[in-house]
Amino acid sequence: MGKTIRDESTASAYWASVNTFCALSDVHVIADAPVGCYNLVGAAVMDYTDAIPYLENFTPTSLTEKEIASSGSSEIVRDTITKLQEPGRQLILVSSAESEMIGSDHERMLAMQFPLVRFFPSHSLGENEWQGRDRALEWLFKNFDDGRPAAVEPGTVSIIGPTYGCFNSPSDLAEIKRLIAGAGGRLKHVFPFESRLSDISDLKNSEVIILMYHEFGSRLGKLLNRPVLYGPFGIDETSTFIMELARLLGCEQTGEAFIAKEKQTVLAPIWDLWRGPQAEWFPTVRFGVVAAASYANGLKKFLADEMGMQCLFSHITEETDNTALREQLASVQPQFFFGRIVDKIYLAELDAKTRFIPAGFPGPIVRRALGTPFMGHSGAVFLLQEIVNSLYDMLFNFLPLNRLSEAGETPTQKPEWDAEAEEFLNEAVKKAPFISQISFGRELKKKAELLAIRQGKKTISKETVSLVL
Amino acid sequence: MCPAFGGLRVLTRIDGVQVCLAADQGCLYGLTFVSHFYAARKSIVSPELMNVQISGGSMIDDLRRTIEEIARDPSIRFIPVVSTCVAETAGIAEELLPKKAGNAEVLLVRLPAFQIRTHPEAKDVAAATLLKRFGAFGEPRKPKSLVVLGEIFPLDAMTIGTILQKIGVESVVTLPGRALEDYVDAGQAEACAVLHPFYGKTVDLFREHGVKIIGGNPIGANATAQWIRDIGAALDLDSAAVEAVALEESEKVREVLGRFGGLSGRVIVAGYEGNELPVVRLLLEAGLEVPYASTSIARTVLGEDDHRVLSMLGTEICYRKYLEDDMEAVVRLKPDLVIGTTSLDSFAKERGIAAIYYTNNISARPLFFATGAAAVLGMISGLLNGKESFRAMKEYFTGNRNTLTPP
Repeated sequence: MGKTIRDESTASAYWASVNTFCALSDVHVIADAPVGCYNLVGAAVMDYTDAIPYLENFTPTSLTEKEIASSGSSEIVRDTITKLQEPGRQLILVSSAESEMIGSDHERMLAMQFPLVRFFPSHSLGENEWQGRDRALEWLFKNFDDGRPAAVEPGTVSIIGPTYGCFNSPSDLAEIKRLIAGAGGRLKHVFPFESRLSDISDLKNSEVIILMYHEFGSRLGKLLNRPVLYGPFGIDETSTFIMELARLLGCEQTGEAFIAKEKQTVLAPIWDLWRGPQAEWFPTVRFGVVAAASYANGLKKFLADEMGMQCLFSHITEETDNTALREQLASVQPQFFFGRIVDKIYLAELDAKTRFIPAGFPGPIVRRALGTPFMGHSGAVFLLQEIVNSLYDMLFNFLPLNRLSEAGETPTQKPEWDAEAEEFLNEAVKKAPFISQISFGRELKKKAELLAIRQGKKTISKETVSLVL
Repeated sequence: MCPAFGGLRVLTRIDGVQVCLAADQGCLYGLTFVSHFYAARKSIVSPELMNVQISGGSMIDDLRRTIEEIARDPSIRFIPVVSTCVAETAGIAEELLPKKAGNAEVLLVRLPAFQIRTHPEAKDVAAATLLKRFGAFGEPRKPKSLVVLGEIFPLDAMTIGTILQKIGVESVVTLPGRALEDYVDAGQAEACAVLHPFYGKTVDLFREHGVKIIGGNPIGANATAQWIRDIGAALDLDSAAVEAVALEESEKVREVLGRFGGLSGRVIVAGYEGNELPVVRLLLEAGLEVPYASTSIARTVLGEDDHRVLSMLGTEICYRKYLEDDMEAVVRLKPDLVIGTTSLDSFAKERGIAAIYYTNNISARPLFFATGAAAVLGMISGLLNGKESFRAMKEYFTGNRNTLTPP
């Protein structure tokens, strides 16, 4: 028996195939799918995750009742291919959950009639987005590698990963490129973004392969038979990344010099914040993360292990039961939540004071500027900057302000507090962000007292407090 | 947009609702995303529906279990079970689903994209399915009561309410409604004013139960007066009062049109919402040239009046359009302004033509009566005046220009 899903937050292998193949500039993808599967992936969601108006190299067969109930999709696939064939354009046909439901397998038809067009069965009813991306990249190599033996060019590095639907990838990619250059490497390819299909044959000639994400790409990485490094988070991983890359490229000294320079430049704000009063708040900061694996683990490693903040939870999206998460949030709310739109919804349902920071899909967000990385040294600085600025904001909102309208509301005779009410108040205050607990408690106390006076009560009970919460 | 979204938009906005969506992972991800973005900040709950469940034949049992789980929350009063392509292909027998669970009514709403084609039509399917189940058609009719059918901008709803009250309408229900009770009460209405031409199934249902149907909408001067008169006649209201309001309102629209008298330009309207033609009529009345209009829906009986007027005034109308039809029209007709789907919008901007996304801009403004005319024409006037900026941006990014302002 299947499980119950609340707010599905991981796409299917069909999405994976479109996101992967359409990122290649000379590929055109035909989706054997009803029109909705085209609209959602190619326009409606793409617009709000990647800030791309629509995928120009993507066409659906727009399956209707006729194909589903009687004729099958072969004819409409043939028509679509005929319309789109063009020299210099590789057509890739992908199946959707619906075409798989009606058992459309076009492998043989293509071999007979359109030998240059390839069919990628997306296995959309069995595999999720990350499994699908992993398989799609492997499939590209198996279908389009030129088969020549590798001729490794010393000093070159290729990056695999940046694709449509990868949260914040432009900024992270820019940072990884910066780190590669700093460590003494020369960038060969970024695949599939920034690449043409034929570049797949040149990946194996790179001295080192960087997999941006832990979620996908390792199958292709293995086939390339080159040393592999992953996109790093925080201070230690990034240092290790630079040193390891420099070692693999045979330029350890460049790597060491780069790290030394980083400490004086890009990374210097962390040393400055550390020496200032700001870092003293870190141990009181309680945060939670729900994101794709690289981000979930990376944020925890940097913010908790290195900066000493309290990680209440760090969940990987595809493993997260949103119903359980929603219940958990009702009792404990972090001060910072790095998450997806669904998390923002759950927080809004609770009217939580939590500061929400987008850190994963699903969710509408533009992250195309190159200055918002989470990875690498720049990412570490950006994250701390975001957190400290939010703390300043919280402080600002709790500092007293002279409001003329409030004059005269000061109670003349203070009512008494009963023990239960006081206990209840203290519990409520504990849920507020640490740095503002004192002022929050004072404010609550005042409100309760005012209410009691208005109601003509001499003692404040638990009920009175609950009314002002 | 995926057709099923139209139904989800109608359903997720109902108070006390918890949608149970029967769909595969990819479909769930996409529909949940657009629902959260465009419909309601509410969860979408589903049973897992992958190969294992389909080949194992457990889909119905999984659905029933999920419905029960949802119903454990006593605040849930309505559980629409929405089935999309994969679930519909696998087959759901409605009689195997409960009609009630906990405090909630349970209702199957079938929304396969391969059958319904467009999201406006899915709104009709959802509204008709709700009305069929909940409409109190057996109860006595409330005199002088009206259903206003069609999603409209909040300010439009307020204006409509004020005007209907002035002419003596005693109660109004707007559909698609925010409460399940709206669908119950709609069954007791005397007449239904259907504002959008794609509500064919819902209108048929009203008609079957003897509810009078009023077509058209209060857009533009003549149509506004006519619409008010038609409602007066259908509900047998005081004709002098009705006529006075009809004249007053159409005069107000004329004043607005007069204010925009200097407006000129060639505009293409090519949305996918199904309510494009009345907008075209307003533009034509304001003196703009609209050589081409297209929509995602088929030609309908409810839209016939608009079709006739537009054709007479020289607008070529394309129903069930493809993006390629719209693109071809842009290239052929070289408009000054395109009001289109996102893809067409981008296509036009890539050519340096002023363009906006129909859904986000037309649906986010009042459209009816004088207020609506002023809002829409004001926006269009602004775009036409600013059309140079679209050319400048195009030349900057795709040509030799190095500054946006002329040197």
